[in-house]
Amino acid sequence: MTEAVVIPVGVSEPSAAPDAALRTLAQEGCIQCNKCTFACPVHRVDVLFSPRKVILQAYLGGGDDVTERDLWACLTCGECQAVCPTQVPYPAFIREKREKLRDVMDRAAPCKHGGFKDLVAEIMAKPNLMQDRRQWIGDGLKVADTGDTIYFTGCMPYLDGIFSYCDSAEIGRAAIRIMNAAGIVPVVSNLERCCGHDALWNGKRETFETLAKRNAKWIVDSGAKRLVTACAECYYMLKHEYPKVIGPWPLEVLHMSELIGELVKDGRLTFAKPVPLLVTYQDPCRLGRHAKEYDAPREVLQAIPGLTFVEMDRVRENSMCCGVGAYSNCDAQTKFMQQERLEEAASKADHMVTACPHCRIHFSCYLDGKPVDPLPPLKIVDLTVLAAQALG
Amino acid sequence: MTEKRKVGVFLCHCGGNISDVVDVGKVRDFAANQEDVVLATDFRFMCSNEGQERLQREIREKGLDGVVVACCTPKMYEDLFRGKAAEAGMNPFLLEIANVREQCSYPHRHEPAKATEKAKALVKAQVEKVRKLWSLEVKTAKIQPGVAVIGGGIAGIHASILLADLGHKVTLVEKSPTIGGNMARTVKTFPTDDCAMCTLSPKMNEAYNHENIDLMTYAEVVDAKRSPGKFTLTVEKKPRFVTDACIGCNRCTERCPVSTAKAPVQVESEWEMGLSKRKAIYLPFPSALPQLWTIDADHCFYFQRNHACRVCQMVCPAKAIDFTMKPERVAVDVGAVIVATGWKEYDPAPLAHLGFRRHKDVVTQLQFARMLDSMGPTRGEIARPSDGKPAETVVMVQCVGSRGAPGDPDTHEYCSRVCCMVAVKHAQLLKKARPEADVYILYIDLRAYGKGFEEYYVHSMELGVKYVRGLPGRVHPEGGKLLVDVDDMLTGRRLEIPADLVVLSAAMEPAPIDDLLASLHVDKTPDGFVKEYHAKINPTETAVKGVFVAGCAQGPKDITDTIAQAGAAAMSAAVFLGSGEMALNPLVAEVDPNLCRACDRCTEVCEFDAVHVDPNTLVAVVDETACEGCGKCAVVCPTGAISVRQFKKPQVLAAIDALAPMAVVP
Amino acid sequence: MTWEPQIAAFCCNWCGYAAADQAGAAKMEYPAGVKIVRLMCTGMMDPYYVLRAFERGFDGVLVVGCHVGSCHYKSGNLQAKEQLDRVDRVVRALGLGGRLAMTAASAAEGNVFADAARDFTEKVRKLGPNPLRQAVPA
Repeated sequence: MTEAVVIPVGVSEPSAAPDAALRTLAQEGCIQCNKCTFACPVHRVDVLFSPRKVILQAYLGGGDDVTERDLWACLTCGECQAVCPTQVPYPAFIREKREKLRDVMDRAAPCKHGGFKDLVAEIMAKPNLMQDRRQWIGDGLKVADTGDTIYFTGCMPYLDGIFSYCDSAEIGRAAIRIMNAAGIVPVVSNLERCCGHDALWNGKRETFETLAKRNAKWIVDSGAKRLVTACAECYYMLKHEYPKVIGPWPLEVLHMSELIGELVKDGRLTFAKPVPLLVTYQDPCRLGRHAKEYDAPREVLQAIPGLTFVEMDRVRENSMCCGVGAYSNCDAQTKFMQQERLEEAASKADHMVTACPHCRIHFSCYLDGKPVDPLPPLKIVDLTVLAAQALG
Repeated sequence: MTEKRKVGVFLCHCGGNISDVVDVGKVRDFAANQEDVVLATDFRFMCSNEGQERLQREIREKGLDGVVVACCTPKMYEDLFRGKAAEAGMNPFLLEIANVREQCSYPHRHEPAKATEKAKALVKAQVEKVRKLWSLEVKTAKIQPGVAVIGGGIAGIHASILLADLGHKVTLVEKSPTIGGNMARTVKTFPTDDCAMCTLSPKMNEAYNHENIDLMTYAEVVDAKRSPGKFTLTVEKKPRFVTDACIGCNRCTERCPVSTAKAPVQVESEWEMGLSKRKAIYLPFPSALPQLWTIDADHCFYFQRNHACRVCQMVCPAKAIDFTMKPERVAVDVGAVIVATGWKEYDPAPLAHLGFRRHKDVVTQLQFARMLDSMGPTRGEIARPSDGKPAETVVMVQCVGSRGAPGDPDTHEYCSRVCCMVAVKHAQLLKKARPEADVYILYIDLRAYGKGFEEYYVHSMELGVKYVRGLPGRVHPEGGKLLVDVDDMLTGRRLEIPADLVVLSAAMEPAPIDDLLASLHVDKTPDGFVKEYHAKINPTETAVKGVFVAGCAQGPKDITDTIAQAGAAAMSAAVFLGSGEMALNPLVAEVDPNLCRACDRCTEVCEFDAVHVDPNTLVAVVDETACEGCGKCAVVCPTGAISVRQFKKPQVLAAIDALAPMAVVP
Repeated sequence: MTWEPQIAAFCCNWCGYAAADQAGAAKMEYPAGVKIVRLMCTGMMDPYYVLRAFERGFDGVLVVGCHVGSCHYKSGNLQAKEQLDRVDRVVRALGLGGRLAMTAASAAEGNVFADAARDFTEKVRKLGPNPLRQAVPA
């Protein structure tokens, strides 16, 4: 197949190269079948939003015709790509469009709290930062300055300063407790920066690359052999996006669920205490569709004694997004998406397990306010926290 | 992103107040280079007619859609300049003030270079904010007819009569059983020595009888709720236990057992400043209005001793005693409120060296006034309270509780203004009545500032009143007299004056109205008096639209100035009410329906019940007449759907960014 | 050029801002590095403003509001305290501890404002310049 066949209509000079985003699209080739639109959670709550239409406008308009709403409403969850017969990478397309159009189409207040989180990330990109990132750890937990295993905390030290709906530091404490129980004293470093997930997905490529380089430096210099994180977004970024910027890692990158599974299998970790809860599991977009890790969290849930685990109907590559992507699109429609997914979860269990602190924050934010329709009682619980409870 | 604007920057010299410190030319040139600034000019007095005309001319000629005036604090002239801009055709809310005087040239007057740099930053901050402002429409609310005057002294009475004559319905609320206030106690007024009651009584009667004045005595404002154009006051009327049938025969008072010679309960008369006793059922003074007796339930034996005594009821020929009366709360809706709550006399007891309350023969000027009253506790005799003998030597001490050291918890820093003239008045009245009496006035300064005051003071010296410059170190009893130790600074001699009576010119303090002020959202000045809108140019309004102040509630003053101010307050209130409607503050919250999560967080934090989620649209809706624009909702909103106009994130950030240092790490 | 602490002072219209006016009118003096941003109420203090001020190079952030119980809007200053306590955790974790403070000064307390401005400037001076200071693009 030659590129000449798919040069879009409307480009002024036939020999001019189409921009990166269009090229991404052009390489894969959308056939305008509309399956993406039917799979899209945003479309379900806003009929005017259609990924297929956006692609068509991009083709026809020479690449500059994405509206502000279309640019930012996309959750980049990837549900569209999962059903697309030609695997059009729509999230990547939107990401690149945001890079190009950010200066002229910056939403002044995307998710307000996300704006705050963005600013914290910008600050972390600056050179002369002397963070104190261990205040949340608390007594009885052991961490080190050097060692084989890095525990990457990401935005953990800052999340509770921004979001009051749930305790995010709890996840970190549980992770360290689990590792300590298995004889691991993880490195928690003050040199850590935000992984740059939101910066990348909101079009701030320069910020993302600055963060990536600063993180890569201390991680590589540390001499550690493995890096583990309890956040789905940090995991996806470190494992899949960082190598595109800094080259291949000299160490292994794992999600906490993978580490737990490994430790249980090796007998280094025992779940002594039953946790008699009825739970279901929310596949995070970044761990699931983007990083293709569906099994490790499920194996952890199966290993916890006393737990009754029931799957929702839409799981794995068909899992529904928590309604907010990269903290850039929480608006009047989001509550309907969250209601939809929580109703589904509540119909199966009274606890929803998340493997991403951001899913947890978004769902907790919704439950902390007023649901649009009455919901049966449902609690959101993090996978690592649940596992730590089973330690006894 | 931000569309192009045409911003004009006007820098004021303030006649040197700004330009003596800040290099206005440099700031002007800096401003001229800022983005979207099409004009930067300076002038000596922006607030003058010429300055305002310039502003209007430039708005019209250049079609400005944004203005920054760098001048004094916005509290002074923001409204003025906005009004002028509106007249010239620009939306008034596109004008901002850069405070380069109170917050720049004044506090940094010894660092002109830094002040100039700061002025540049302040101007830039306002320019950046203005670039992000958009036009706002002003909505109006009807003003409720009617005015409430709180306080029935001469200030409240005079203001009420004027407003009532103009046709307004006035509710006059007085805490004590009678109107008249402190003026009724003073007996004579300086410098004319007129009989106080003679000048006051006609006004009291006029207020009492006026068809437009609803008089509530023995009543207190216990709560006030504001809504645009209206105040709803909750007035609690205390029960007198005496009905309108009362014919004023006084038999009840004669027979009341309280405060008789052998009675276990003795009540000091508030009216007589504690110099005599009163009964539990009483009329405060002979010409009290309304002429209604009152039972003080806290001391009456019927209430305090289980219905033991009903003498008044038994002797009353008009059957006017009703022990079953209850407190009554009424709601009064008015468009304007005048605070005229007056003053009370400072209690000099903390100043131990002067012996008030330690020695019976030490009294205050108000108590002395009661002694002068031929109907008063001493029947007009200036006598020693200890033994009733005539006071031959009287020593008056000035500045008791006033003009105290800063930080002294027992005294006030301010001068109470009238006590010098009160002392002169009392001294010369005494000398006229008893030329052989020895009268001293111990003073620091003798302040005789008003019309006829100096002449009055000089005359008192001619009558033989002795003025000693110095305040006493000690007042102590010896040989049946009170020895007053004082250094006469003019002669350099130490005096020990054997006084029969020591009269303290005690300070004027504001009446205790903290709760009332809090409910009206009215502030106080550091001296504790009601804060006027502006000390010089607007002493009758307060910062709250529709609330005015008159008389000693605003600060110590004599009767002349009180009446003048009460007239001014009445006029201001009349103008306010007469306009019929008031502009609502548009700087309130608004909701972007595209971002609202209907989560109720804004509703939970709002103190003014001003925002609710519409259950049909699932979007929060702001009641603009109730919203005060505090912005709490905007902070807790997770999406930024609700925000306060002119204080939205991009607007505040513009100011922060412009003020931020652009320096590199040294 | 010697470094002078630059303080962003967020003042509420009724108390803090009026106190600053009173300080000026009463001819009190305080460091010129104190730059005032006017808000209607400290309840309007969004934690974002605190971080933005630090990100833009301010060495300290001072919030001046009404005394507890005297807030012109009843409880705005209470919410401010809650929000600022929470953001202070972020500020401290970012290595900027001690650079955020909140105080109260009523409209009549110009001296309290001037004292607070001076004292906080000195406190920040001891902490040194904001480590985040860089050239900000114009």
